[in-house]
Amino acid sequence: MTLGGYANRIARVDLTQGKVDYEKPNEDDLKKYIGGRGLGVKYVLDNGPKVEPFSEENILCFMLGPLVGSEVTMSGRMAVVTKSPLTGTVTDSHHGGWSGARLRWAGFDGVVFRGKAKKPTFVYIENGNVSLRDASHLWGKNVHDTVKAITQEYGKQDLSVVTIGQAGEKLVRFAAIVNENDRASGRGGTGAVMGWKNLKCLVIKGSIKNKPTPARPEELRKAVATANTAIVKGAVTAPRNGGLSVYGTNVLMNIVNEIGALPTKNGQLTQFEHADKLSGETVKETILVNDPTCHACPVACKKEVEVKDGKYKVRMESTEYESMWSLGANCGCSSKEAIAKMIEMTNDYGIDTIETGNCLSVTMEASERGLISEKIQWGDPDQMIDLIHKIGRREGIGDTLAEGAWRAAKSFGDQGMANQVKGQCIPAYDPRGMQGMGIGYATSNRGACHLRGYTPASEVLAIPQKTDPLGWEGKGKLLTIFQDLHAISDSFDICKFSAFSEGIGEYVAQYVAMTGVQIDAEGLMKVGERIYNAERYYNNLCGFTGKDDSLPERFLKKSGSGPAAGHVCDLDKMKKEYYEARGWIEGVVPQQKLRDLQIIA
Amino acid sequence: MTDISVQVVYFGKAREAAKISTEIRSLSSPADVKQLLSDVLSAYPALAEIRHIVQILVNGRWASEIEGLKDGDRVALVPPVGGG
Repeated sequence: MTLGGYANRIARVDLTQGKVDYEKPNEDDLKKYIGGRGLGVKYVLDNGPKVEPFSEENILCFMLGPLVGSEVTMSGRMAVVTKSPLTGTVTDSHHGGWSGARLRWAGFDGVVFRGKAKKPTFVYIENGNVSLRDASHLWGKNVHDTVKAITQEYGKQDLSVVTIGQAGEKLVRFAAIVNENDRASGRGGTGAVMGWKNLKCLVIKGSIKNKPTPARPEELRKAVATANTAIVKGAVTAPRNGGLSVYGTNVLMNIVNEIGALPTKNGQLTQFEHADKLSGETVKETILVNDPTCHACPVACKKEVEVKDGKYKVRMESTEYESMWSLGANCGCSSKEAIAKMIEMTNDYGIDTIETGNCLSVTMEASERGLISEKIQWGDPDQMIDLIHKIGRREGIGDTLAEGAWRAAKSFGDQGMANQVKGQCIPAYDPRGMQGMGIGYATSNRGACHLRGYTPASEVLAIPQKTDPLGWEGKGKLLTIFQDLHAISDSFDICKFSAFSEGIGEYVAQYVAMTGVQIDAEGLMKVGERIYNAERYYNNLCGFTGKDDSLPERFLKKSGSGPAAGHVCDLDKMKKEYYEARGWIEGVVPQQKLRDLQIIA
Repeated sequence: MTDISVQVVYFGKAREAAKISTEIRSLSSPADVKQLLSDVLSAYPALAEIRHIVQILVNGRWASEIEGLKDGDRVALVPPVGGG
């Protein structure tokens, strides 16, 4: 049986040898792991846990799911999967834009890199072919200059550039991979792995004329129509009407702050008095100029802004909630103009804005406490801009911060200052004000992450049902459902925001029609469970156990503020419930569970 | 009956409909959320379009319409939003 949607072609690039082999993905793997995140995790698992992130043996996988590049709504994402140099766990990081669709149109389901090139190299991908080319003239350039140079040589038509900036070249442990100039695979340091391999960028030429072929075209047309109707009518996603479309993700700033779950000044508080100055509403009223989008997406949640003059003059995208928070409330900074400038810088250097903001807030706290000699004031935008330059270039204190907030905090004298799990720092939700996020961070397989299991959907948005953000009961079990569902959407790879309006029914209908695989909702959720457990198994083999499913002490012992006053995160109670729901023993997947899920024979 | 003052904050589309981000409103005590919403809808008729999808926070906690209000409370009107 040939499954629909796939190109049935994976490129295996050996950068050491300078050669490319092609293979058809194993159909059993596709049925069990789908593609995107799932298939990338399978490849990383098969590659073995005992590899160093910065090594020839580590693989860097650019993966697509079977829906990418099609007419399925919001089907434009690509997963980058590898062993993370920040955490030592498996990590997958996704980006939107058009590069995922173009890679499918260029004839691929994935490109997997191993080895290390002898000199700076880039790959050119077109018509089912991957060729290695000299990148000496690109090495040292940041993202925007790299894209400019490539498009000058190859043109812009049907072209995507997926690249690292200086940060990736200099092995900043949270270096990102950026496509379309501004869309990042931000988390986990995938850009550093790419830089270690002397791989500068992927240049992908693919025309929409080569869209994937579904197994059941008429059935897919109907399934897409149903899903698309849900998106365009959804209260959150309706184009130019729903909150996400009109304000972008930054519409969350005021609401999360209102419930007392906005980590402020490195988690010293859970409310920021200037949250409204940074909010999506204020951005829309003042500096918003455009609403860019991604392949096949009517929602257009990206927000392009322009600061017309002054020292923060910039035109950039996007003022995402996470970035506005990490460089805003998290650092005590209330200037949206300065933050827009800083986000632009992180895009250009190619660094994760979430980890960058945490590095800055750790530095501010260390300075406040006299642990370092540098005087870095809370919320000083010019000092923050200077530090971002130093991180991207690994200069001065930036060289320490480039190791990640946790390692930096340790070298400053108190690793407890870093709000991290498994070495990766928290995003914009404080677990004292949002209990579900506490168990979510702790049990995330890639370090602190809100996207593994997005419980704010329930705790803030009442999707699928409303839960009290300050209550802990039921959150462990609820989280497993979100984690498995997101593992599915990450493996399709369609935008997670589709889940604000679509459900498992829409996902099943589109997947079955595209691929021809016979499966129902329960079966598909089982696939999600398999993927989540496979990641956990890999991490167990790397030495991670339940003791690593932890939270910083300040979330467990120090009260939140505002509506979260008097509350700490009830992690232990939720962990017990979560492990029971997962069938794990102290964070370890038992052998029988691995067999039941067909992860091992 | 005494008057109470509550702060009302408008988020997302509620802000757009009311064309105001925050205000202080007076209510006759005893007052509840339902009364406040009635006042607000009278003042800003455009809010009626989204009334059925707006959730209410009182002092940062999700509240129903029957929740009582006291002097100094802060009430937020929250339309459906999403993000990451």
